[in-house]
This record gives sequence, structure tokens and C-alpha cells, in this order.
Amino acid sequence: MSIKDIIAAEFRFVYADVFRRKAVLFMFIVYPYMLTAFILLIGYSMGSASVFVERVGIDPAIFFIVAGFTLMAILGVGDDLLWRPLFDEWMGTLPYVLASPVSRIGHYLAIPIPRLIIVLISGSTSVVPVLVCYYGLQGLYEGLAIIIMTGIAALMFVTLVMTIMGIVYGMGGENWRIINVLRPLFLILVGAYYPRYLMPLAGRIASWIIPSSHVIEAIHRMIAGLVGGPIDIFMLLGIATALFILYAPPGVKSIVYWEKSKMKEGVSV
Amino acid sequence: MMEAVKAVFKAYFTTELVRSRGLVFGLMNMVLWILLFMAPIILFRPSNLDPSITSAYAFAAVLVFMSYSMATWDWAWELRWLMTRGLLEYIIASGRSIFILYVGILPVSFMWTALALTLVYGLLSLLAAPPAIIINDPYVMAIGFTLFIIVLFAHALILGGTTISVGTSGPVMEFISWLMPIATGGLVPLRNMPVIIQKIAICTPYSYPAELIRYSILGVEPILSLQETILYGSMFAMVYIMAAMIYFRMQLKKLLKEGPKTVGMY
Repeated sequence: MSIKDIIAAEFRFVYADVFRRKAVLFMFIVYPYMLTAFILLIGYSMGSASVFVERVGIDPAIFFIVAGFTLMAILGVGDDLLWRPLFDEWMGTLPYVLASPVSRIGHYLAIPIPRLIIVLISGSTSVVPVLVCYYGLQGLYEGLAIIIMTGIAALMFVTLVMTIMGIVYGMGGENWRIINVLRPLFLILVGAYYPRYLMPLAGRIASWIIPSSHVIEAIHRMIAGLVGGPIDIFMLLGIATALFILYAPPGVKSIVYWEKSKMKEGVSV
Repeated sequence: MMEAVKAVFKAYFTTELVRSRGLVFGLMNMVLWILLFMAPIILFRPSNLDPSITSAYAFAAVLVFMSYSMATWDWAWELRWLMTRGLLEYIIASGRSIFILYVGILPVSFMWTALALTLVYGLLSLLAAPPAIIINDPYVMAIGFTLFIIVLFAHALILGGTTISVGTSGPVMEFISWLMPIATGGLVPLRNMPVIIQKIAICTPYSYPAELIRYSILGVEPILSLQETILYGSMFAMVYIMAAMIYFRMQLKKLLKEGPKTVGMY
């Protein structure tokens, strides 16, 4: 089975589920708005938009609709990879997955792609309309650029997540509970909701080791109009790519470690 | 019956709080999610506003939000877990009421929420300042929390009933648990909300307990008079819990006729 066939199989699996359960599809569209409403309502009741603009340099409505969208994309990729082994184990399908003659690495690289594509398309119902409302045609271009950059940010997350996934599941038992801590921690550190440049030094250092955080900073710089200058957007994308490549070998080793440990201990059915 | 309740309590206490450091991981998970959404809210606060007031508002919002989450994920979603693991059939076949299970689960659920709120209080104290929570009126506070618990039970029964009859998915549950507190004034005093949301909120049973709780701990006046808020809130809560009980029983009957639905990954 080639990687193309694996991706096609994943597409069938995910799209059949999403289009059968329209509520899931609906949620892809609604999530960024819901998260934005949640923060803006509390934020406005306790302070004002002008204070936020003064501190962050971006209108809060734009900042949080983009944050909700990027969160959806990164969380989607993370969740697809981090929870799949557990889901397969609970569903009793893990023995078949391990017994199949499919490249495990290829399989785990293919898993997040179908859902990520849906999330990126859903950007046309959240990020794009809001930016067009604010900036007109310029907003359309900016919205499309954000969608592309969010796709890059989500993909840059894959190798790091693969590394963690393999280690956590390879340790066996109920160590998967650590994932519940790592998921929100990564989401804080990528800086989608709290810009990295406002984080304390320790937070910034931790954030730098996550490839996606650099792309998120590039998005923030673009919507704040801080293109060029000492920290260039392309430089940030370059750092993210370098980190993505750096995490690839441990990611592969980690998946192999998980597979071997499962073969050794046997899977519960 | 008490034996069954004790067994359930022990099982859930061990699984959720003791085994594999469940309590530690669970609390850390919750604190990080709260931090993710609360940290940016602090960026709205003007420097001349007392941070302890901001913290108190944030704490009240988290209290309401986490209570909805408890009703959604601990109570209603539990039925889906039972279906996923193939346990629901055994409970039904035992001939005992499904509510016996909940008598055992509720203490674990409340313990967990109380611990989580204590941690949130600590987190807000670190991020901004200790929340300025002052109990203005213990009588109104008692009524507010009683009505709140009744409404949460009804909420869980409606969601749980829908889950067992149509196999409701996680995203739908998540949508409801986010939307309800936002649209019904759970997070922010109704006084500070747009008029349209105020009108929607007072047509639901959810807004009244939240208004009473906020009045009793933050001193924020409800949009209706206190007497009206208590009266309408009590009426709404009673009607809602009765309707929810009838609905849940109907869905349970439907389940017995048609069998449990299959479930997806999310």
C-alpha cells in the first residue's frame, strides 16, 4: 500500500464520518466564533477593546477569530495523532492496525491530513469574512494568507506530536493520561491566544522549541502590520521548518518504539 | 441499593482520582485549559481597575462554566462512555435504576469540581490578584446554588437522554456546554450583556441561578428585581427538571426498544 493509498483510505474514513454526522461539520464552522464570543464577552465586561489594542497591537475581534481558527487546526492535528492509538485500542481495532502490512510512519503522517483540510476550508467561513468586514479586499488576501500559514503551522506540529505519541504510548499502562496535560500546555505555548512576545521569559523559551509557535508569531506579525523589521516572517517560517525537520528522526524512532512495545506486551481486545 | 452505590463510588473514586495519578493529571489539565482562555482576558483589563475585581468576575465565570462542564461531561457524557464500553446493557439487564449509578458518581464529581475551583482561585491569585469574593447575602446564595444544581441536573438529563437515544456526538455536547453559559448570561452579568442576549437569557432557566449567585458573591444586581429573579428562577427550575425527567424516561424506553446506538471517535 503506497502512501497515496493510505491517505485515500484516511480521507474515506474521516469524510464518511464527518458528512454522515453533520453536527461535526457544523462544529468546524462554529468553533472559532464560539471561542471568540467566549473571550470577547468576558473581556469586554472586565475591560475594553482599546486596552487590548494598546497591549497587543491587533483588534481583539480579529485576534481571537484568527486564534480560534489556528487553535482548531493545531488541536485537530494533535488530537488526531495523540488519541488514535487509544481509540484503536478501545475499539479493538489496534491488533488489525499492527498486523497490517502498512508503513506505520506513513499511516501516522496521513492521519491528520483529511481533518486538517476541512478545518482549513472552514477558514473561509470564519477568518476570511471577518477580515473582509474589517479591511475589504485587502482582508481577503490577508485571510487567505492566514489560512495557508495556519496549514503550515498545523503540519509543522506533526513530527513533534509523533515523538510524544510514541513515547507516551510506548511506556504502556495509563501513561496516556499525560496527554491531557500536554495538549493544553502546547496550546498555551504556541501563543495563539496569548502572544509569545508578551509571555514571561521562561514561557518564551519553552515556546521556541515548538515549531508551530514560530508560524503563529509570523501570523500575528502579519495582522499587526509588522512585516519586515528585525524579525522577518520568512525567518520565522524557516526556523519552524528547521525544527520540524529536527523532530522528524525522533518522531520516526518514537513510533517504532511504540509499535515494538505493543508487539512485546500484546494488545488488549 | 447502598452496596451498589458504594461499589460505584469506590470504582469511580479509584479510577478518576487515585489510579495512575488521575487527580494530578486531571487538575493540571483543567488548570492549563483555564489558563489558556483566562490569560488573554487579562489583556483587556485597564491598569486603573482593581485586579481583585477582575479576578472575582473571572472566578464567577469559571464557576458557572465548570459546573456546566460537570453536568455535561461527568453526568450526561457518562452514559456515552457506558455505551462505548458496552456497559450500559449490563446496567439495564441488572434491573436496577440507572440513577443508582449517579448516586455513586455525584460525590466524586463534586469533590473534583471543588478541588478544581480551589486551584482556579489560586491560579487567578497568581495571575492577577486574589478574587474579591464577599458573601453579601447567604440566603440568596443558598437559593442560587440550589436552583443551579436543579437546573444542572435537568440539563444533564436532557443531554444524557439525547445521547442514549440518538448517540449524540462529542462536538455537539461541547457546543452546548460552551453556548449555554455564553447565551444565558452564565459568564457575564446580564446587566453587561447586549439587550438581545438579556431577552434570550431570561427566557431560559439557566440565567436566574447565575444571576443570584453573582448577586450573592459579587454584589452585582440582577436585571430583574431580586424577588422576581427568585420567583421566576424557582418556577423555571421546577418545570425544567420535571420536563427533563419525562424526556429522559421516554428516551430510555426508546433505547430499550431500539437498542444502543453505535458511536464514533469524537
